[in-house]
Amino acid sequence: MVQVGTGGQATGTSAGPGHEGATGEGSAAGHVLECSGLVRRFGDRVAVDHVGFRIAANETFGLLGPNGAGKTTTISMIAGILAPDEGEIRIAGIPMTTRAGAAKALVGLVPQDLALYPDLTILENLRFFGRLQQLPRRRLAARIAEVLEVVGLADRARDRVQECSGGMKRRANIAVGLLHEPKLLILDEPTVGIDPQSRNQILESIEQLGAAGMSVLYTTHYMEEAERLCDRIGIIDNGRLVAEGTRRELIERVGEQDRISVTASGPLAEFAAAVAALPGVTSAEPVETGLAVTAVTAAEVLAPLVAAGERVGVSIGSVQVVEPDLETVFLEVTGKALRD
Amino acid sequence: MTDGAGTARPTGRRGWLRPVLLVMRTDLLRRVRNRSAIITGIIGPLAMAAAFSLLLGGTDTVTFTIGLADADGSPASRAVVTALTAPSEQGPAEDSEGGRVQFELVAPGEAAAAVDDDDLDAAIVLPPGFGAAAAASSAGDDGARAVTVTVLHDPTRSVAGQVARSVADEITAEVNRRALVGAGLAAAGAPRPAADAQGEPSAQAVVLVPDQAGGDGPDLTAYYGAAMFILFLYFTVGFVARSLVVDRDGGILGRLMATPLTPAQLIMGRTLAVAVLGVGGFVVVWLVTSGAFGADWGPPAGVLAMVVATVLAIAGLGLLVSSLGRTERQVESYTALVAFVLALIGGNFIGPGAGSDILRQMALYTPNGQALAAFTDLGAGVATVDSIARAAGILLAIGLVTGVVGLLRIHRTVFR
Ligand SMILES: Nc1ncnc2c1ncn2[C@@H]1O[C@H](COP(=O)(O)OP(=O)(O)OP(=O)(O)O)[C@@H](O)[C@H]1O
Ligand SMILES: [Mg+2]
Repeated sequence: MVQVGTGGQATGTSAGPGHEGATGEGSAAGHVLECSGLVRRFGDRVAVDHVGFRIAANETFGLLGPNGAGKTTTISMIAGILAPDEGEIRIAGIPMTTRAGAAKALVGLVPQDLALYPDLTILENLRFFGRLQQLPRRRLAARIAEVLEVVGLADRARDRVQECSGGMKRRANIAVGLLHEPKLLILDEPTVGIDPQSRNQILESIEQLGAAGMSVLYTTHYMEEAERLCDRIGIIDNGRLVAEGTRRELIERVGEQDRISVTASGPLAEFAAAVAALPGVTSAEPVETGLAVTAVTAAEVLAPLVAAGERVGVSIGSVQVVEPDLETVFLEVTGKALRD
Repeated sequence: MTDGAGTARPTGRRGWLRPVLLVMRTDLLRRVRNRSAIITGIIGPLAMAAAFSLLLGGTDTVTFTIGLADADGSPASRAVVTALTAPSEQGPAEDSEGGRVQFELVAPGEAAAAVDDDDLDAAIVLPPGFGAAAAASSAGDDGARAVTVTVLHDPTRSVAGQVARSVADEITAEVNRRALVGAGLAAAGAPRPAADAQGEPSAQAVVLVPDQAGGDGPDLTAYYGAAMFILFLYFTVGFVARSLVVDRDGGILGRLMATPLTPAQLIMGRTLAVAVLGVGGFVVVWLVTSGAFGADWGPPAGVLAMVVATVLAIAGLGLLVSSLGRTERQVESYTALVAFVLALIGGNFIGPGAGSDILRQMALYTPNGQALAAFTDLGAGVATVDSIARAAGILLAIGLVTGVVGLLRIHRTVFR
């Protein structure tokens, strides 16, 4: 029974990052973020529809959803830059509003867009936003050096943002959000549109920050990022939070199904019908490269599946058993694929 | 300047102002760095002013038609009238700045109406008793009344009025000092207008007039310097709304608002930056046109007062106009539209005192027209403390009212 002190950075707890979140419902005082019943409309469109979740100290929470799901709208309200139509937000117990300077000081926002002045250098951007965060000069200078180190831009600080590469801009964008050592770091799809190497670098930085005790709210539509970084994940679709929990919990929700990916050519529709009729198979859909099958236990259907293939005259290239993943969960809870 | 080691947040007015000044400084840095400040604020107006005064200055000279009415009918008054209205070989007299003055004889009863109807730019009336006073003056009477001359002019045309007044001053000065007309009187029992017109003394009178016309006369380089700066000022000012819209669409506004900075502080900082750029650019244009092109803007204190008042007026109006746009494009188009329309009505593209009567009247309802009228007076050396205070007051009022409405609107559009 590890209880986290009020607003504490749970550095002493040994259970590894986050997993108390699933069980520690009672430790409300320790939550860096609590929001509930958040609603935001734009005209007739309900962009966010009664969303609520909590993030414990030292926890990384992922908001996973497709384009237009309401991720940015949700975090804009949490960061105090957009007023919710309904609902409540508390940062370390302090109510967040668009005018709540004290609550805002606890949050570091890394916007989806590159929110930097292109005609200023990285350093000048850091200075400007750092001073807006009311960091005293000397403290700011030290922090700038630290955050540049974290994002690996120490030697590029005097480059103008407009002359930086896409990956450098993304990293500088993150650096600004870290300056004032926020209790809660909010990152809105920070890896969109960059090369795999820069992306990996960014993910590593975020892992380090999480390990160092920072609470993180991370939005993405990349399942593998959510799986890699996040202690808990909320799946958001059409403005609604349709599922929430640790990766394990979410996958249990879909009922421990296995996915089998078959590459094959020939009469796929016939093949699919034959496979679907096999005992233990819950679904079989023809896809471009072959067949996507879900089954209660993959091992039990593999032999009959291959036999069925021979029977209908398809040539099977490979059969692969895939552990159920968030993609499966997403399909299950929203009825559609995560990728567009 | 520096805080202590503590992290206590500054409070009170200084605490409120600090982020405002930070935003201002950063805006200035960005605008100097991306050169927009220099192009819109200095090079643009200077180039346009140079082009205008070169292209139009030579051909489009201002001609003032001044009526002469002789209500006295004495030999002395007739001599003055004849001397001034006589056709000279050089055509109308030209002053040092390219302005011309020509005289036209009118009946005393019609002078006022002719000025009102704009047939004349101004009129000089030689009142009854002019001859007698002149005679007494030239005879050296101790009790001689001063020779007086009446000037009629339209208050919207202070330069023309001043030209007329200086001609009138010249007439009385000549009469009083050199007894010029008195000598002519003594020489002939009967008036000999033709002879007088060609004669030495009268020719001198004609020569004197243009030298003194309109103080120094309106300075075209200074005029177009101010006119073009004012035109560009709308675009400088449009930056406040434009940059907020750009920042909103680019996500920077979100980041700014995620800090303790308030919308009011942000808008105030941007507005201050624009005001600094406006006043700074104006002063540079003033100094460069004076130094490099020899423009005479008039007394510095008056010019500075008008620079500040003009910048504030147009800043206010620009804020209001740009607040109507919801996208960057809209902000730009509204700003351009209003800038050019007001520049046309306000007389920025035409010379001082030019244009129809209606246009000149309308011009005074624009900040451009008000400002240009005052700058023209300053350059012509005819401005008074009162006239500048009035013009500056009107401009400040325009700036205050439009600025407050504009700021509230921008606040609402950008921070929905
Ligand atoms: N300012 C706005 N005005 C009108 N509609 C908006 C506005 N902001 C968001 N929306 C709408 O609200 C919905 C949610 O948008 P939001 O940006 O929160 O989605 P998102 O999950 O961040 O998407 P993405 O992955 O594309 O960033 C969308 O349908 C969007 O069109
Ligand atoms: Mg988004």
